[in-house]
Amino acid sequence: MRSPVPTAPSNGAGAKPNVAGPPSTFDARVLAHLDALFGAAVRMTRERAAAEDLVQDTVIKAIRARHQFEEGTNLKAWLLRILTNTFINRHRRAGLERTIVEGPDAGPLQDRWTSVATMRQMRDPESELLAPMLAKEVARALDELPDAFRSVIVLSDIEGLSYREIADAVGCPVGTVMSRLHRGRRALQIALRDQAVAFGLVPDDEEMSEQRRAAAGHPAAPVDFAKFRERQRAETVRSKG
Amino acid sequence: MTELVVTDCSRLLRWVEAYVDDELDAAHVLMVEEHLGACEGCSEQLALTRALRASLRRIEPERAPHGLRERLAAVMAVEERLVREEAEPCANAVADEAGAHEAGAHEAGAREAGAREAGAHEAGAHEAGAHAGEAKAADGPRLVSLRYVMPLVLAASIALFVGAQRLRELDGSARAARDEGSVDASGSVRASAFDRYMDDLVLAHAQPESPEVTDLEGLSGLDPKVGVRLPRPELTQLGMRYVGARLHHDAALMQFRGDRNRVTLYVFDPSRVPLHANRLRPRTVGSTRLYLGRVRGYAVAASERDGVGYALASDLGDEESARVLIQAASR
Repeated sequence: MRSPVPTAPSNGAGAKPNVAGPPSTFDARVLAHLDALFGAAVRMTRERAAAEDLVQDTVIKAIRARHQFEEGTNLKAWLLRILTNTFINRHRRAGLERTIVEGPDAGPLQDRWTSVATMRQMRDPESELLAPMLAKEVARALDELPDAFRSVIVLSDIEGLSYREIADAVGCPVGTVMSRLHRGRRALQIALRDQAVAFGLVPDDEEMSEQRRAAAGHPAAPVDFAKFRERQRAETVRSKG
Repeated sequence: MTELVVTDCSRLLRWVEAYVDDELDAAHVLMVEEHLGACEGCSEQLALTRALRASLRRIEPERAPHGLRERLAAVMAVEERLVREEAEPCANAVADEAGAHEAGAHEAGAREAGAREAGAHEAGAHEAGAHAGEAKAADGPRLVSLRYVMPLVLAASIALFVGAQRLRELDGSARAARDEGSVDASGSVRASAFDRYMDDLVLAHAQPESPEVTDLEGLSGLDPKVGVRLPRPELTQLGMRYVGARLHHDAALMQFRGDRNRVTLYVFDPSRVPLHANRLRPRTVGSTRLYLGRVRGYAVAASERDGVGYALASDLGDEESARVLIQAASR
């Protein structure tokens, strides 16, 4: 499938004014997606002020590149692509993105990360465990994820983009999107499970954790982002000093 | 493609996820469903993934703040104008003026002239331009309304120019970033490199350090470091004495002293630090395009001439400061 959106949405330089449609209509259509854009921006940047800046830059780039938008395709996906692009480029300088995806933590996840019983309890509507907990806890767990994982989850689970559209937005192959989605969701599930265990809502399946650790060959959890960040930070400091 | 035989759950895991996301082709859907029917672990995982997805969608949706919406509407208006200007530069510049003129005339209560201008404006940009031109040149009763109108036209064009400048800057930085292999335009809506440059300049002016060179010989030595041919400082006509110069970042920083005032002049390579003065207001004096303003109470002025950038900070008034800059840039 060909990508319906341009590779460089910010390229407004060579733009010829769109004579086909009245520009104000396009502007209005862009503004209609403002809440969605802002919501995605808040989830990605985790900060309202930064989200406002991100949305503003996105909208300017979009109206400048309006002639590159193919009528009849998904405008929201196109806008989110510009937004994600801008977001990633702005945060890529930290250098985290690449190392997470290609670094040692990119290994395969254990498929048996918790017991079937715990999984069932976590989603059991009768126990009302997930319903109230997820509202707040899911948002927080999402904020804890590294950018690369958080952005694909926002685009897929919250904004409902297809794998292809996400791949275009984050600029990587569909396989990578799937892998990040998988790892990101698993990290969320583990975070939520740990939270539930901490609240005493589900029993700690000690056995599973032991198995997991043994399988991983080291005492760390399969996706321990806190530790990963710590290590990253230490390395950055070392390389600077 | 992969053969449709499943040996273990871990191989299937990603497909289960694609199944949840409705991204799987028919053959794999059948395979996954068959496995799910037989494997409790995977079907439970599927249910949990679905539950998680549902709760992610339940996260309270954010509403864009009102201020952002308003700001964007303003940005769009300026942007649309730029697009139109690109399409028809002459007609539009004139039409803008006529538009502002029309608004001004109405506010000033000059009903007759206003109505005529408004009519002309609607009749067509070119015609309106002719009217505006006439009005400007005309003497007599029409001047009464023009006295009110002109400041409004000026204010409107300055507002438009400042807005346009900011947008062009965003464009420029996006282009620059792309040249480096990235399409980022981050931070560009806020302070430009030039704005930061001006902050440095004002700081250097507020807390002066002693110059590195005080003779003209030494000044020539700075040329290659700055990358432009530095002017020989001559401001005695304006009562300013040359104290000396030093290298400050990429710029030559020259200090001057009058009886009661000091002037600090930056001479820089505008190809390194493009003159995007977001916080200064543009003004044309003779053939020179200037940017004037105040930073931390000091008068600042900037200009570009013959491919050399000039910026100064001083404890002078705005007019005086503009005059010093023009003098400095005229070599």
